[in-house]
Amino acid sequence: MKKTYFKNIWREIRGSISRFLAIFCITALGVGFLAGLLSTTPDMRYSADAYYDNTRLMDIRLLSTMGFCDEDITAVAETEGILAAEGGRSVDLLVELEDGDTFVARVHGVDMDAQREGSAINQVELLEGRFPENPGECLVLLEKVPLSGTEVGKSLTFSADNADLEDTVTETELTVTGIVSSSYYMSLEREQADIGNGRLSMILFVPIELLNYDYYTEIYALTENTAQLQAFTDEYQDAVDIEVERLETLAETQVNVRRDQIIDEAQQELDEAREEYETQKADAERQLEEAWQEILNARAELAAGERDLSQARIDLRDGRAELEQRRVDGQAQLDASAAELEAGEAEYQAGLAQYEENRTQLEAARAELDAASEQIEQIRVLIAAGMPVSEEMQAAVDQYDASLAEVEAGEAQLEEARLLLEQTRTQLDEGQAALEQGRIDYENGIAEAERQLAQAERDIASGQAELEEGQAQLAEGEAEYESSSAEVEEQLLDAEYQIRDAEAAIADIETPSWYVLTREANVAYVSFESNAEKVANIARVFPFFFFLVALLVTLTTMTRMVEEQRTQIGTLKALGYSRGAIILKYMLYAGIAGVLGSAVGLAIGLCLFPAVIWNAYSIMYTLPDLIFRLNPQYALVSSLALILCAQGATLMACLSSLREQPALLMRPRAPKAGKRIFLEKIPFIWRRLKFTHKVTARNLIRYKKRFFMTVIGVAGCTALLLTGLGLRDSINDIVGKQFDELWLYNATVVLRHDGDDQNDFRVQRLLEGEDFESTLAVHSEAGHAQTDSYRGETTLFIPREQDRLTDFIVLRERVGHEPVAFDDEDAVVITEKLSLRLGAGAGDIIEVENADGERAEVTVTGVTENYVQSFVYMTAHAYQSAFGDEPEYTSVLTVTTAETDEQRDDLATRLLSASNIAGVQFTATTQESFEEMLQSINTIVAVIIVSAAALALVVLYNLTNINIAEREKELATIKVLGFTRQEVAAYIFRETNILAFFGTLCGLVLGIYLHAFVVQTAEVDMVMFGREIAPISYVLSAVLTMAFALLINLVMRRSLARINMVESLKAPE
Amino acid sequence: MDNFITFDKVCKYYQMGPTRIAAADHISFEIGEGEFCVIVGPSGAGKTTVLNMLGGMDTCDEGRIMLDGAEISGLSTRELTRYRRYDVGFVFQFYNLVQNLTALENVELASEICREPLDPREVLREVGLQDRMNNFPAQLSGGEQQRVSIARALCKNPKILLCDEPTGALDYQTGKSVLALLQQTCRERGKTVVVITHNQAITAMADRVIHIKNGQAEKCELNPDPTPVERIEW
Repeated sequence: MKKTYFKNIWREIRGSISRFLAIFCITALGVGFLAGLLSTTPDMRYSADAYYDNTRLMDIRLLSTMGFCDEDITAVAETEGILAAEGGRSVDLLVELEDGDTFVARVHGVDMDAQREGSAINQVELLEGRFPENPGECLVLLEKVPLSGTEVGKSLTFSADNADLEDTVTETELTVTGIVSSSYYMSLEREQADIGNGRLSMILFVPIELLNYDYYTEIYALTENTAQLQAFTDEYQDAVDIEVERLETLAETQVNVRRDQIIDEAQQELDEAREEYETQKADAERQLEEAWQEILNARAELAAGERDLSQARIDLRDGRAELEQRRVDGQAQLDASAAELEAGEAEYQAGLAQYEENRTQLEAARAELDAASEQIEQIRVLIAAGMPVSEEMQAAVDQYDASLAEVEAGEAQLEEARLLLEQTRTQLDEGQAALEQGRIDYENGIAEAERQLAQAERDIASGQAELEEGQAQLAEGEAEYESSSAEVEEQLLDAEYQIRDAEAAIADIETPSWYVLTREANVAYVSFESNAEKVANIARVFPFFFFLVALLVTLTTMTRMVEEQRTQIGTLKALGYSRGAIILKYMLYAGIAGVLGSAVGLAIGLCLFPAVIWNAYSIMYTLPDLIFRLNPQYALVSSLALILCAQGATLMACLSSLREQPALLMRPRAPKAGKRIFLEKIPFIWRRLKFTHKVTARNLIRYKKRFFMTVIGVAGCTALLLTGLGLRDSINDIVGKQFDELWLYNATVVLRHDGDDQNDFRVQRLLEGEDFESTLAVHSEAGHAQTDSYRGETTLFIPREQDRLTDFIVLRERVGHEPVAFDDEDAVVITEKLSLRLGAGAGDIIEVENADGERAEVTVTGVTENYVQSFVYMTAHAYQSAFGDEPEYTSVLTVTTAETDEQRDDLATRLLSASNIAGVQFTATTQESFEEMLQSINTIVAVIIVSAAALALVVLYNLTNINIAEREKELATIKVLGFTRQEVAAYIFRETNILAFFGTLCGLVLGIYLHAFVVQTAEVDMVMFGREIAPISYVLSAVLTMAFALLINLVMRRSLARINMVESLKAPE
Repeated sequence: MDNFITFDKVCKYYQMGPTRIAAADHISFEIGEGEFCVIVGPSGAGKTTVLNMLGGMDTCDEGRIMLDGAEISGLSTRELTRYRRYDVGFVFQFYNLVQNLTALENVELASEICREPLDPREVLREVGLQDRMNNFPAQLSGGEQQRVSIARALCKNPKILLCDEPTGALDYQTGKSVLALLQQTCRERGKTVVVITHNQAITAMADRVIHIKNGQAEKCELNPDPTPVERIEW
């Protein structure tokens, strides 16, 4: 090829720099945008994957219903394909900051040594401070908005309100030693906690020993084959799934180890308990026995007492009788004695009288004697003097002597009798005294006996009382014994039951279930994946349209260029240049512009778009630095597509020109004939048009190619703008619509039946309290809905009171807001997105599946507007006839009076303190997290809007440029005719503006469809974007496009002014 | 009235790299009102430069250009536009009709912007196109197109009619008839007609012939007895 030839190309480029730049820019835009957005998702995924790899994010997380033991970890680690496994403990605890505020924290017990060495699974990255070295030290996860009081050096205290705190942790005071980030917690989104206010406000990492468990709550595992595979890909997931299967197989046997361990532990505990039971039982029995013995003793004693008492009574009675007898006897005796004494006295008196008589006689005798004595004595003395006495005198002395002896004897006898009498007297006196004494004795005896008897009686009475008391005591003792024995028996029975229960429980100890979870169960992972997917979805649609517009513009520009240069082509051809050489010039022109544009576009696009979007997502995620990668497939595909298409178009244009003979080519092309236009057939309008407007009208319709190109180009830009703005509307819409218009309730309380009626009552009291304006119990169950064409997750939702559902959730049609009826007995209303996916509307039959996997066919009675998640609203009757089960109303929709965050936190804390409230979900919180998520989409939308605007500018500039270039001569002519600058500008821009206007109109229409398409493609399953575009967006995109058109007009005025009138003198080309 | 149009030492330079080329080098001539003037010269002599400057499409660097007592040289762009609009009728070698407008509309295109335009239909009738008024340029022959072009220039009722090689793209006969039309216009309407051509033969029909050579008015001759067009041969 000759040097001149390339010089020609070089000159060509310099000479038509604006055209070259137009192609360059549009290529750069199209390729940059397409490749940039297309590589954003791969870049995002790649960067996240690198982050995961660097931080050794677990591939698999194992949970067990009963925790894991060391053997489990070893077994997992030794499973084929598992690179490493690590046990961890985690628990949600209330943590008090230094200022006394309490927050819910998830506390992760991790292997701090491994973390420090950087070899742990789920390695955290230390951003500040140091790793804990002592048990009472912890790391805090960096939050987007760090909680004040969790900085390094601050101390945290596990709140005393935590249940079983002593059993949970070894230390209650922690010192923050470092701030970390963790790929496990990449996202702002957090799981729900079921303590405190239910919101996880911080994540702590503590040495695992701090959590005082004898088991691990989870095992993290890395797989061997996935290191080279990129996260989020099917290959990765497949590889992980293989491991999941292996681990599930392992679980089948391995679970028994833990089970045995638990059983052993339980058995041991049970044995101890049983031993204790036995001891206690023996003890109790012995005590009972003793008590019984005591009772028996008491009984015997009592019986003896009773016996004694009755004996005493008998004795008493005998005593009384005896006394009586004695009294009688004594009396009798006394009487007898008295009588005897009296008889003695009488006898004595008689004796005395006798005596007295005898004595008197004697005395008389004596006296006679005495009287005789002297005579006698005289006699005697006579006798003695021996004189003889007369016989009479002798006989008188003898008779005297005899009478004297007789009197003497009588006197001795009398003396004797007197002595006897005296003796008798004494005896009598004695007898009297004795009698007296006897009487006294008797009386004393009687009195004594009576006293004794009285005493005995009293004794008996007291004995009786005592006995009775004893009996009462005994009865009491017996009762006590009975009851305590019953009690003991019951306790023992209880204990025995407990033991039996425990035995049964041990027998029943289920084999633990292992849950083998992949990263798909990690909130951050899933959320990131779905966001990356969203970008991909948008990237899939948007830039292509963009690209098409770019392509169209390039095509027109190149075609136009070839046509403009037909003379030159003819000349070259006439000069003998080969077709190839001629074609090559244009191909090179387009090629150079395309390649340079692509290069610049790629350079900018591949960096800019991923960076902007990555940056946008860093609002939501803790992200590492983005790793830019040249994604050859996207870079090549997008640039080659555009360049090749442009080349193809250039080739076609060249070929069609080259087909003509050089002579013909060099001659001016026959001007295109003017034509009357249809408007002229409507004189009504045509006559009213100003002349210049007629010209415009005719020109517009005459240059159909330009017309369509401009209209399509502008329409494309408007459509892109509208789509971008509309996408923003659609996204911003949902939050407001869903949370303010459709969901009238503002909190869901999830109940957990613990079987305790009292707790139920408490909850009811809470729910009826002043915190809530109204409540509605609902049955909410994760399920599926399907038709032949689609199967998707959904939530089955059954209100307890059918007619009140609409007080909490507005059921209405999206278009027109007609209420959707929910009053039929078998009403089944599904949400719109679900309806769209299922391809089933009112009257159609869909299959619903409940959480247990049971399926039933139901007839849809209505479709309701809904944006977030998907629901199947059913009546209890419909549910029951579908599944046969009664709905369980375990969730409560509530309208709370809590308006501020503090009030909500307070309410949640109060609710969650009730043991059978499992969770509280405020729609405001959900709304916030949605808004955050959508914020990031807004950035993408902004990127799109800015790009669309740039595209609009370039397209309009290019089209106007072509328009002016094409009609340079005409413009020069009218300039010569004396058209002022304004008139010239109006002459051409009126057309451009009308075209832009038509383009805008078409764009608005096209935009509606493109928007609908993008919205459907971009939205994820759980979210339905709004379908409406706000009027302001129509206005804005129209105004923007027109503003761009006017801006371009302003810019192009200068090039109009530059048109040399001398051009008009030249021969037509 | 010899000085209806006056070129007084008009110079126009073009900078070509380091060298300055004088396209018009002190050109001086005068044209009287109502004259049919032919400016003739070989290619590159400076004819077009004269035309551009006279037509208000270009400015001169030195000297003065006067028309009807008003100075054209030194007018601002805006004033030049007004000058072109009201004072100059331009007839192009390649007619420069707007392809998308009918003959009538092409004339109207010019009349629309004038203060006291002639009736476009009347003018077209005068140029002999009464039957072709509603035809598009593509439907007209070259001569007819040039007539439309002339009509377009005429209907503005300008002070001068400037014709750039009006016959250049036409065949002999047609060219002659166009020239006849121009001459007729000059005679009947008393319009000053300036025809720029390289065709020496046409000079015969002119009242005044100005020869341009090497950027200078080499010769300026008055022709007291112009030859009617019909008798001119070339």
